[in-house]
Amino acid sequence: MSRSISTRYRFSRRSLLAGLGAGAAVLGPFLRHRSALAAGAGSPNLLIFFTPNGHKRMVTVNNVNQPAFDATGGATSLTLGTAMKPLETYKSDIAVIKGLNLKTPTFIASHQDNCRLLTCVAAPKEGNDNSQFTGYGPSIDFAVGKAIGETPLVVGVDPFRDKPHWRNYLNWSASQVNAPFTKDFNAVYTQLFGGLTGQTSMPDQMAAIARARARNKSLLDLVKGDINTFSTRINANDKAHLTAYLDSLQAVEQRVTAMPAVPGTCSTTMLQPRVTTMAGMKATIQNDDKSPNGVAKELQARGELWMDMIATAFACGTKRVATIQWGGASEGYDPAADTGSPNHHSVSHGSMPAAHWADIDSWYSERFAYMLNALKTLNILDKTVIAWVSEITEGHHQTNMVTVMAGGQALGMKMGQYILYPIKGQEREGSGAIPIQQDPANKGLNDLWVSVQQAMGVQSATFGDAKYCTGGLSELRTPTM
Amino acid sequence: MMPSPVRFRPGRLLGTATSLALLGAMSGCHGVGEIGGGGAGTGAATTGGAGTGAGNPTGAAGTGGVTPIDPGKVAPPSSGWYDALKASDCAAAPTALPSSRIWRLSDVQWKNTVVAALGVSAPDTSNFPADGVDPRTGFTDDSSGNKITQSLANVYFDATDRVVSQAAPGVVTANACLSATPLAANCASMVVGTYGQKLFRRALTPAENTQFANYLVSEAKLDPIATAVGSMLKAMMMSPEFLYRTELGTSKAGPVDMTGDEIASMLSYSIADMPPDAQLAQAAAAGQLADAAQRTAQAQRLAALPGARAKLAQFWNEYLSLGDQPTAAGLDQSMWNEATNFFAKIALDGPGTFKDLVTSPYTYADKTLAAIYGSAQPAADGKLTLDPKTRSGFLTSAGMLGKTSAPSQAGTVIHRGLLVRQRMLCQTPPPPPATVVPDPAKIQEGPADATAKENYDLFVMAHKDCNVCHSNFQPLGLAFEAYDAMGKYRTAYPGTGKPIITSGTLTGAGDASGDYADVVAMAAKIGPSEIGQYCFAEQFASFAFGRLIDTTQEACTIKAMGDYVTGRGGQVKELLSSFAATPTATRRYHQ
Repeated sequence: MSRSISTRYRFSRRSLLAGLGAGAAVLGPFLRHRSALAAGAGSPNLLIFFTPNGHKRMVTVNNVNQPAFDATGGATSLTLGTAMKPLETYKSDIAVIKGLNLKTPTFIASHQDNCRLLTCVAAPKEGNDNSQFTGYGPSIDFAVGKAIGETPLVVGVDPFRDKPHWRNYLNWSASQVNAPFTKDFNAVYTQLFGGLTGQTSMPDQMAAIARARARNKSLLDLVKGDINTFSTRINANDKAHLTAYLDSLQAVEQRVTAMPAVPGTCSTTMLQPRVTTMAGMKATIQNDDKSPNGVAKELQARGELWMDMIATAFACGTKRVATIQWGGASEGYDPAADTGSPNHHSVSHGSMPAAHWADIDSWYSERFAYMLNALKTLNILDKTVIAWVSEITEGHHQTNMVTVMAGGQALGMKMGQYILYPIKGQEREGSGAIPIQQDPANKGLNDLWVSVQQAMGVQSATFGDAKYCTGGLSELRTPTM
Repeated sequence: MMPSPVRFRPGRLLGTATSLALLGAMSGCHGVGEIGGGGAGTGAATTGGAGTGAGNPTGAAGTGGVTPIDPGKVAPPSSGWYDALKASDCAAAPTALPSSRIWRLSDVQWKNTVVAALGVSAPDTSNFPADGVDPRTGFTDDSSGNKITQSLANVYFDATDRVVSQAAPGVVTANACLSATPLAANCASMVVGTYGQKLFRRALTPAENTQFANYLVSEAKLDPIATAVGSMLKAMMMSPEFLYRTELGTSKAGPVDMTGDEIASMLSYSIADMPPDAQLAQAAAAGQLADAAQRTAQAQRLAALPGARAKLAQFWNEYLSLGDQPTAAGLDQSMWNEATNFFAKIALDGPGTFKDLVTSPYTYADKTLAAIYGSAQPAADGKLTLDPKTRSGFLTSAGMLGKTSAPSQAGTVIHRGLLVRQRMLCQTPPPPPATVVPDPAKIQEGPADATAKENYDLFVMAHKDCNVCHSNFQPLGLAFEAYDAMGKYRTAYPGTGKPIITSGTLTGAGDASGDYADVVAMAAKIGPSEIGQYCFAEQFASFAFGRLIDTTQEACTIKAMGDYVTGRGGQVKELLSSFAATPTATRRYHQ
């Protein structure tokens, strides 16, 4: 990969290293890579944020129904449900849409249709054969990628599978050609940032960022040493004070050393050591729909590293389209209970009280907030369209879905609103021909992807099955075709 | 039983948990006993039990017969605390000492310390998380509960950035040697020593000085000197040595004497929320603060500072759980203003006593409240003279009556009864048995038009076991039925016309015990009473010490504080300096 380099500010490698002292140790990998914003860094980005097993749209508290993974409001207002509360800070950067449907000519109500979630092309036939697990067209990420000339990044977060199962068939580079996830941090790091080699200069802004991080790190190391010394003097009853402080400092350290100190810049300085650490961790592969308990923190750490890598790649302009899969459809870890069995899927079928399903959604809302924070810190949220989707929704249908869109306001996306598309028909759990997905009055996911691709500069009035398209979601973005 | 949902107001007048627990129609109550935190004795730790005993020992046996007072094991004051206090032999050496401890600076203390140490303008701390309320005392000065949470650590880090960027250039200017390149070690050591002492409120140890000086020298090689100085100051400000006050002495196991610097910090922060000033630090350095008379003199000096006035006002605010001033003009704001102005006029501006707070037949109110009182317009200074037959101090003020009213009749009665029993007599009822789930809906025993007295009589018949405890506070609350939810005086219930019975008997209340005809008569017993004075001192001790006081093992501390105030004319403001010479003021037990 070859990209243009800003050379306005030049430092010799020798003088920079001398100036940074100990802090320069962490800059090694950075110096091997291109550091300036590439030409593509100002271009629009697309991220598909996938979590499995749908969402709990509403919970009942004291006999009163209240939105959980849902919202209320209108074109100029947005009140988030309880499971979306972690997104409160980003309310002006998100839009909650309710009432979209995965349109098909026949009844579908299964997790397997995750394979059509991003393609919006129905199978030639439905039934118990392999067509259940196949997409019949490029998924939205690959369709956009093809239009802008790049191969999208598809990463899987959970550490339980090392090869995709139908439960993970979400992305399609072409009809019936699945684009599997990768979970190889090293390989992706090299792919995204390893091509930025041979540089001998860096802008002073980058040096300042690196120095600020190193300064914060050494300062916090000093404070932690102080705490340890202090702890030897205090009453045993008070140890909890210092334990709490040390835990809190961990969070401070993560904040002030992991993210760039200056927005709008491309820097991989802090990524590389994290990638090395993560790659060295033993994965808990078992290729089953179950997994061990107690790995929620690992799931979170993996996800956060992927999100930071994606955000950095967007900022650096080395990747513009990506999908992050947090787990597989019809399986998925339960991060709220920190259990692999019962898993997220069984919770969605009622193995736990409904509120617990909402707790899982809330956990994912926190992760989504992390993603938005990463993009916002890098000053690219408004240039990035993010779609949070799931293969199914409450009731085990692909109807009346709740979708969270974020970012892209510089691309015409209208955020800070609640868009409700009333559905015609009745939702019911279980089998039966429920023609919601066939009724022209009901909005299709196709239109969502039409709006997304137009925001990405792909001027087309249709996506997937053209017969289900109405030209986009005008409430979300004024159609440009 | 009629359902009667009970809604609680924000704030913690008497400890929400306690109030809630007591609100139930506790069908499962049995054998809890009367108000009492513990049985008599001096042996191993115990935290409860029936009885009227004076003791609630909390500590394990200690060195030389001295035991530590473990704040986690202290029981709330029992009904017998006053009798125990009266019987205490305070001439003898203390047999129990407060545990050594660390105590996180409150938000205001953090701000004042930064300003005093670095000479910067007051930093904005409005985004600091509010200090938590100790559920056992109702006060925010909570030495064990207020820890450094993630959000607090984050705001510390960011606020410190702003402070040091303001302070560092001045430090460089004031210390010419800092401008030399490379930075000399002795210069770094001198600067570190100067600012370390200000920030840590004590001289740095040689090891600390070396550590921070090395750090400064190291940073000065990487950054401009002002940045390096900023990093050094920031490291100090993020250190627990800055963020915590200490009462550790030598940190050797067993009884220890606090250092002079620690005593200085105790006085200055507990009296005026500020770090030791030069005069106090000098006294500490000269070893004068080991002397009770010297401490008292310093405490009296500090008590006259503006910070002390704010501190005492904070005590009153939290004593009555007033919370922040309502931002919107209206009845709530009028009531809040009344409660704070009443205290300010009587106790902060004037020589007012506890008795004045309880028995004064006037208030400080606006026109809105004057209408409730049915009085003429307030004077220019807000003073509103009230009918002495129906009004007596803060107990009958519209603000307090409004604050203690609840949506349910019984809830209101309980809140008001607890205000008297718990806050004014320092007698905390025990919680209901663990098997009882408080159900506020069941507290209403009679029909909707039943009077509070009728309801209570039915409650007593239906829940005799519960009434073992409820009898201590609920009847007291009945006297307040002469005032409606907004504090308006009445003699009969509207609608039914049923007369309000306000008479009763104050039991187990030491020299305040006896029959009363109404709240005014009840206040007339408590206001001038010794138990009331000592209890007020005990409440202030819990506030100033940042922990629940062990009324048995620290009876002599309370007695000394109460006697000190009484000996100086009973003025409320004397509370501020009252703890400086108490028997265990400067001794701790380290574990």
